[in-house]
Amino acid sequence: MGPAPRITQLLEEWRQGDETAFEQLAQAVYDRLHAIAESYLRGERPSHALQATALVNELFLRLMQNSDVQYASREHFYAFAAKLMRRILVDYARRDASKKRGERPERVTLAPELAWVDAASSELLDLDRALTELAKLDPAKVRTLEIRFFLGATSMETAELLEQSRARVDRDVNFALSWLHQRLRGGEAAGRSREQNSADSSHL
Amino acid sequence: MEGPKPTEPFPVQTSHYQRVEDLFHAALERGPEYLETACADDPTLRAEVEALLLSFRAWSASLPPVGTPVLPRFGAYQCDEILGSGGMGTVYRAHRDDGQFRHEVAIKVLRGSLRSEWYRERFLSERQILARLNHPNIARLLDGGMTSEGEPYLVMELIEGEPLDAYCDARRLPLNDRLSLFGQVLDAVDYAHRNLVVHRDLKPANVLVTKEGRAKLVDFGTSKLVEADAMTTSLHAVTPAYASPEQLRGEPAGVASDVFSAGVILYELITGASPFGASESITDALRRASGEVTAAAPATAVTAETVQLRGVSLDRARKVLTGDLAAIMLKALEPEPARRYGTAQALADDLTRYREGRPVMAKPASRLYRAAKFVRRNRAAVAAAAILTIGLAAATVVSTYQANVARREARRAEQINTFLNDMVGAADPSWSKSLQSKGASVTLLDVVDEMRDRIDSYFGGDSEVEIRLRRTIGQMYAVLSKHAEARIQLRLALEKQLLVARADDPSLGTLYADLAGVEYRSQQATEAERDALSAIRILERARGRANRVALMSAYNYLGVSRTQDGKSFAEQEEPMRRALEIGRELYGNEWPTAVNLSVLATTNLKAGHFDQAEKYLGEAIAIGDARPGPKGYEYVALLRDRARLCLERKDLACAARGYQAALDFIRPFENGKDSVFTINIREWLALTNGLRGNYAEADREFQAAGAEIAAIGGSTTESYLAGLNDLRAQVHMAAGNFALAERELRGSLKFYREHRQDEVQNAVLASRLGESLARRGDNAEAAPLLRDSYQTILKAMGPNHIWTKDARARMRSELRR
Repeated sequence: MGPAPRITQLLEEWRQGDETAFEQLAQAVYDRLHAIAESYLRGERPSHALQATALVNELFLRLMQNSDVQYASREHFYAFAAKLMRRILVDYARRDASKKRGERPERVTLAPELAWVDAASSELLDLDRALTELAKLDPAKVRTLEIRFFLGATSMETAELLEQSRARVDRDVNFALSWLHQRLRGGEAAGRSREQNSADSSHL
Repeated sequence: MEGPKPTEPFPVQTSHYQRVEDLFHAALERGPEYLETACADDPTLRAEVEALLLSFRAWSASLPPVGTPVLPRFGAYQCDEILGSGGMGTVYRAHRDDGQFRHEVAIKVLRGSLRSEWYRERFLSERQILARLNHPNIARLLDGGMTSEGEPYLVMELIEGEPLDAYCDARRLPLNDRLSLFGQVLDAVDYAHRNLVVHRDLKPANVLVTKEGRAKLVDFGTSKLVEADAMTTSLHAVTPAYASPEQLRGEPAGVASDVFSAGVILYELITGASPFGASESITDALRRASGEVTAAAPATAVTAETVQLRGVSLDRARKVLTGDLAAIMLKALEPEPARRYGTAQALADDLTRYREGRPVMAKPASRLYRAAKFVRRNRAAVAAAAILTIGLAAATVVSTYQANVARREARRAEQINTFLNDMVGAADPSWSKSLQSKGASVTLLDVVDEMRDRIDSYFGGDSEVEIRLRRTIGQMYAVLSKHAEARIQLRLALEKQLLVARADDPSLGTLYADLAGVEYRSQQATEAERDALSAIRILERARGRANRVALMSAYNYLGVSRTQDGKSFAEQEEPMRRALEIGRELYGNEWPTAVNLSVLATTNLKAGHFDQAEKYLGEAIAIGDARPGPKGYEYVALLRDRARLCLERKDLACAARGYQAALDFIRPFENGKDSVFTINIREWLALTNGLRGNYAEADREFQAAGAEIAAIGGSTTESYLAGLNDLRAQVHMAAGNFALAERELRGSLKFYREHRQDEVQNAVLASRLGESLARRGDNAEAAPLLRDSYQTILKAMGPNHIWTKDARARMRSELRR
């Protein structure tokens, strides 16, 4: 890791909406998160979903030792790391999506709850777009989903990081995932019960 | 957020999205029917929410029920619950769910952090071993496999039961039922042995008893095949409390080792106490590894509380436990493997004989044998490594946020392990060469020496590791009474620590305290005092239990060093009182407080503060009385000191009663042959009786004691005999045989002047010699002796001490003659 950047300040600026701060932060930790994402996509821990939390913990601890990062900015840092992770995984998926079938890695799932998305394919690009849409309506839920699934935190860990109850996290995840699933797979789910549901539900 | 507008029916207009989310949660909680009424006038909204509910069911269908943690799957088995985790890994309750048949099993996997080759091999060998065993008292292996990540797992018979000890205590099982359950365990162990498998980690937690009362042996994770390379030295994670001395030394553990562990289980089932006390300190384990420590007499281990759980009276239990049953337990617990039962079956047979009232094979080992053994013992008492490993592993259990700290710890633990492994000669041939040249006579000392010489080349880089190791080596030297070497290693550790730690770092304080202890034991009172003070200065401000314990020791060392150094009573007593105070905070009325009290009692007794000494002794004895488990020599030493107090007060009847009580208490510990400790109490009882006028009886007892001490032999014989002569002289004087007294006193004084620094005690002897001489009319020699000794005692003890008064009275009355 290079010279200690003003990470606490950058995190604060990013939280207040300065996207250039995100880019600067990304430079400081990109390599490390990149490696985490890669090991994940190589299928080294398929059954554990993306258990990057532990690795991000380590990263955070290191930042605390080598830079001005303070424990209080933990929540921002995790939110940031989760968003960066999302971006890295999307970059991978975009690259792999252009490959021919057979060259691509095996189907990768982020978590049992997201088993319906192959994270190593264009399906992740679709999920990314749907998340961006959801963020316009409900940015807080997207933040929760990012920590929960891109960082692979458990409900409990997510709740601790966001200083919310675990019930609240589970509730938000249930709705947000259903919303995303409806957006991306609404046709399939509705197909089985089209007769009961004549109304078009695509415009929420 | 907008304020309420009076023209609108609701204070805030809820967004469409928010309404959909609220309805979604409401429908999930109350059922889809809820939407019928909630969306009665808005079919579009209802359709939207229903579509989301469909999506919810679609993505959540394959998940476990909400709220339960995600448990892993192994092949056809789905885990339902974590049954336990510890030691090697995790055990799950699982069921087969491939539609074949519902069948519950236990699945065992390795702990993630232990996925090294070494542990994997061990794990795989458990599978190989279990596959051989098919016995009603052993949990059966059903299946095994590898996860997609290549990690092995075992599918075992699911035993629904309680650990053996908990099962027995919860049902208050009487002795006979306990013995019959234990018999089932021995059956299983013997069966395993006959199939060439030693378990190596027998303990109550590894014996589960089902509702039907069937004992099942589980966890062969540390077991191995008997025919496997017998030379392998294994530093595996055994449980120290149940491990045999040879296991603690890291030597190959065979059938006899399982017999020993079974013996510990039996002892605990019957008495409710551990045969070696509850201490888990490294030094106690080391002593046990050296074969120096034998099990406490079972009769002394039972308490009112433990017999209640066994449905017998305390008296009855004590009676039962002085006979054959005790002999059987002690035979299983012999430090030397060859003296134990040869097989688990032999132990079982002897227990059957006992229950049928037939004579048993076990015979109490003679005290003489033990003493001779003690002297002859000269074998490798190697691996404290096992203990050290366990300590470090326990220290690495930390929270996620300390993950990097944990990793560093783990790396250090690994480094230290490698070092200790090499020390035993497993990996580094140059190691074993220098040790092998000594052949079978390698001692723990040789190994520690070797460690000391090697330490630089191993840990040049990590000073933290080096400091810890030097400290451990220093402590090992201290246990071996190599005080000079201990001091060098602790000094080196201290110097290194001074370079890296802040001046007030508690780690410096604990090192100073260790050093003070070593210096006190090697009679370097000035240095001990200085280092104890350094320890106190640092540790008075430190928190944490370990630091407080070290602080307590530092105060005690300061006090006793001042005693050694001849400082004033106030200077000696003050730190001892502070140690007592800290000890009370840490231990309440536990045994360490009694030890602190006894230090204070001795100091007060010597200073002539008899009331204070009596108070401290009384409290210490009360703690001993209330303490469950074996009381042992330390407790009897308190009784002995209380009798000495009576003697100093010249209350001879009280002293006689006290010494007799101490003897009655210690006798069950001695298997027919008294130890030096007990002989010494007999001498003092003889002195008391002699002073009461039973001269002949006293002399007979002195002669017997002298002969027994000479028979036991050893380096301290002369010193014991000199002490004996002193006591004899006192009786001769009481009887008016001054010529005999003179002879004894001259011999005794000659020895003490050469070997003992304690000027005051020597002066007391000289004063008595003066009296004997004067009584015989030899005033020329008597006068200077009486005067000089009086001055010495007066200077050291002050004018009011009983010894001063005695010496003054002798001088005056004899010189008046």
